[in-house]
Amino acid sequence: MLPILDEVIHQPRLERMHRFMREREAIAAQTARRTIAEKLADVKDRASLEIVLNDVCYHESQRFRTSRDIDVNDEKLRGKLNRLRKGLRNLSESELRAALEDLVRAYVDDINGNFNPAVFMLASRVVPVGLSLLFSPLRLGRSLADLGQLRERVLIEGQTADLERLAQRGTVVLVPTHLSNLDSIVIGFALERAGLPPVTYGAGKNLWSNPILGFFMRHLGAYRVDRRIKAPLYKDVLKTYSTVLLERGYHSLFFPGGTRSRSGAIESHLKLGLAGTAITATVNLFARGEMRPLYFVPATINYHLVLEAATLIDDFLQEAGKSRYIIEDDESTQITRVARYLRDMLRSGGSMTIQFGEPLDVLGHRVGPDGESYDDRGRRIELRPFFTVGGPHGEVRHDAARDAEYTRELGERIVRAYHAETHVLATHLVAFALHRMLLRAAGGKADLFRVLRGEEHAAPLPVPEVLATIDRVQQALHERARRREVRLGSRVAQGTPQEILDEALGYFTLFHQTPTVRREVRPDVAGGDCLVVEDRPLCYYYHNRLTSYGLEGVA
Amino acid sequence: MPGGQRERVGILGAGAFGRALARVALRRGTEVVLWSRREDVQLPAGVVRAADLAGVAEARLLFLCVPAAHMRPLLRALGDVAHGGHLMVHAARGLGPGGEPVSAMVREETPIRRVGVLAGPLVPGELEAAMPSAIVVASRYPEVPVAARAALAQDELRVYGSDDLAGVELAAALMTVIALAAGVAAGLGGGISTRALVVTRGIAQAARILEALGARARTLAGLGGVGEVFVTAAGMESPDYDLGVKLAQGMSLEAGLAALGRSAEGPEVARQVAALCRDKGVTAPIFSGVAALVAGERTLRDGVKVLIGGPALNE
Repeated sequence: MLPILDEVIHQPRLERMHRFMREREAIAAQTARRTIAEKLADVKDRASLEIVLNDVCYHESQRFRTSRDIDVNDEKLRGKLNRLRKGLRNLSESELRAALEDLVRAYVDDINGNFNPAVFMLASRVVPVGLSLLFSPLRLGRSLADLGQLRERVLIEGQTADLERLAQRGTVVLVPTHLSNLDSIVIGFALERAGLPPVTYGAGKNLWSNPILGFFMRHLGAYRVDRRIKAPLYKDVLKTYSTVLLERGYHSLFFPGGTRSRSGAIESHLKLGLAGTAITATVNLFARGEMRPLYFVPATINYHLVLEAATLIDDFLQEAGKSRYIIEDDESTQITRVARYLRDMLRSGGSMTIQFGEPLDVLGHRVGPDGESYDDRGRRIELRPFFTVGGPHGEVRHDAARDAEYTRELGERIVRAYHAETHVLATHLVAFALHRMLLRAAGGKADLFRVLRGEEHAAPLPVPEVLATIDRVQQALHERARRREVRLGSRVAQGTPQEILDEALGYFTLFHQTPTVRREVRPDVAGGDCLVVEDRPLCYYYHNRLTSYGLEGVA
Repeated sequence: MPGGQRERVGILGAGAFGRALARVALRRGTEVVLWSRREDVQLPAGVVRAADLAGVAEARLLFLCVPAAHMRPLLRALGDVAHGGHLMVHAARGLGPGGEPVSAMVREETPIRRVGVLAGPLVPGELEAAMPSAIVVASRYPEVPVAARAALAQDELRVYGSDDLAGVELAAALMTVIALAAGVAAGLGGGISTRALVVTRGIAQAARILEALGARARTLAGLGGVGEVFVTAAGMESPDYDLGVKLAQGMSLEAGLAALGRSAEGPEVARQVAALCRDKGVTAPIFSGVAALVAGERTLRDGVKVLIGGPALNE
């Protein structure tokens, strides 16, 4: 096997995955036992048990009616629920319990996946083939060279040495921003390159059927999350599964944005269901007297260009955007598109930057390199008293309302970290300047959608004015970077406005179907040198990365 | 008490309010340990005086009863002995120097997360005389009002809960400005209807401010809003109202405060809120009027007009 491919799936990584493989059945069994026990403790009588089951029947029949693809597991579940719904009223309490247990086990199996060790071993030998598949449109020699480059082009910033130590001392919950389906792969590369252990990851079920990504999912220690299932019982099972993984010390990856950012903006509203399981796990660990802490590590993944940008912004701009969680037919499902994207990015010297932020404990306190928690005044903090009743040394207890509030506050800290750890790249800055200028040219009260459709007449943008706008925004960004509110990519930090513009235009003519922005010489404009924004929605998409820094007035 | 164990609370501050709260808690059967920076204050019988902040921090539930101006240094020192197991309820009427609520200050200076605010139409004398009354304790953590109720509630004192921490903190602060304005109106010779005008318009403007800051305007209809201003705008138990009267009599702010002999939160709150309204584009003439008045930028030559603003539009 070629050494470079050998490295991709190198030994220690496999060993970690072997543990996941060995324990997988035990994890499933523990998840089922715990969910059933908690549910039965909640339901006090036959009637409330019937309500829980009826709820599952209702939500699932809705899903089966509207969902396009139903797999074998779903078919089995559908049959099961049909029978259950018909007989629900006549079942005895013990029969209802049996039905609940049966449903929980079915959901656990769906999340856990039908994991077959023999298949895993086979597949891990096939991985290199899968990787070269990514580059199938290219000649083999070329693709291998590109692959090597890819590994170099994933730049990693942040205190990875500290993270390595924390990963030994406790359990790491990695919470990155989410722009692309490539994120989980890029994170996988980054963890490996930084010498950090692999993570388990709840990958959307749609990714598993994606011809490219599904391949990786099976090897990233992923379990399956079906976001189409709305039944609360399923969500309980999923949360318990995640809690069990964390309690067993599995490092985990969540995307708290819940889904790829449709608008391209940095996430500001998080879905904290899975993040909340870290608090549940912490309380359980304290209650058992185990002192293995959990650490949240916010991270940003920064791309000059985003593979699925065109589809995502299109989805965002349509009314459907809000409800369409799962896009099954975007650029990430097309092997040629993915390959072209990677090739183009690599040839242009592009890179992807993973910025690891400062680690936080489950309550959002800063964690020092020593693994201890510190408050804003730098004083060391004990976590246990936050979860006790009747004094700091009292008994540790779950409290749903309290923990929901702790989770919400943690979410605020993560959002703050996302903003502070985001790298502003040339494409963001130039798109921001251009989009603001388009809006201004269309008049103060211009309707965004008209501007995006190109219905508002806008004069071509003279390059000197563009450069002046870039300059102003760059100055304002420098100021915010000094206050540690944002990070600047190297070109934005050190380049002249002209250099920033050139780099961005280089990218913009690169990958997307039509060049997002092109140069044009217009004899009717002074100086003649102008820019025309060809793809306004895409320009808007890259602009959105900077919308939360209060730069609108500056531009 | 359930389990036979008596509740215990810590109170910081031995002003009129801290002492009244101590008596109420004692009457409920709650143990009280009180810390005051002044050693000469006479404490109610049965109250244990804490030797230092560590002493008061032995209680799980802490009531913070000191003026907003003294808050930060005290909290910073308390932060050294406080821990994540504490619940804290503050009774401040003011805002921090940057217009930040006191709960934010608690979060910055101490490890305490479970913070609440206590507000309502409190008259220490009536509280001690066991006349039926009510307060609200607001926190985003439901355990905080529950604990406050366990420590204080009795037949004569109903303890309501709320989850609108920001709303109750702001409402209580804004009411001090309305009380001051009501004092001005009274001092200028206005009648009860003039005061009603000031109070009603003040509440309408306060509602805009709460909404602009992400709190619920409905909270103003509660004990921390209308409940509180019902007492203070009537001229009872309100240094702000008294200050307003003195300003109307032509005293400067300094002279008024000196004559009052106690602190009033209204002038500082008005200054911060007026700045906030400018930032957020909120129109609140009573608040900006009081701010201009205490800053000496406006006089009362035109009478109460300085507080009322432009022509009357729809309510």
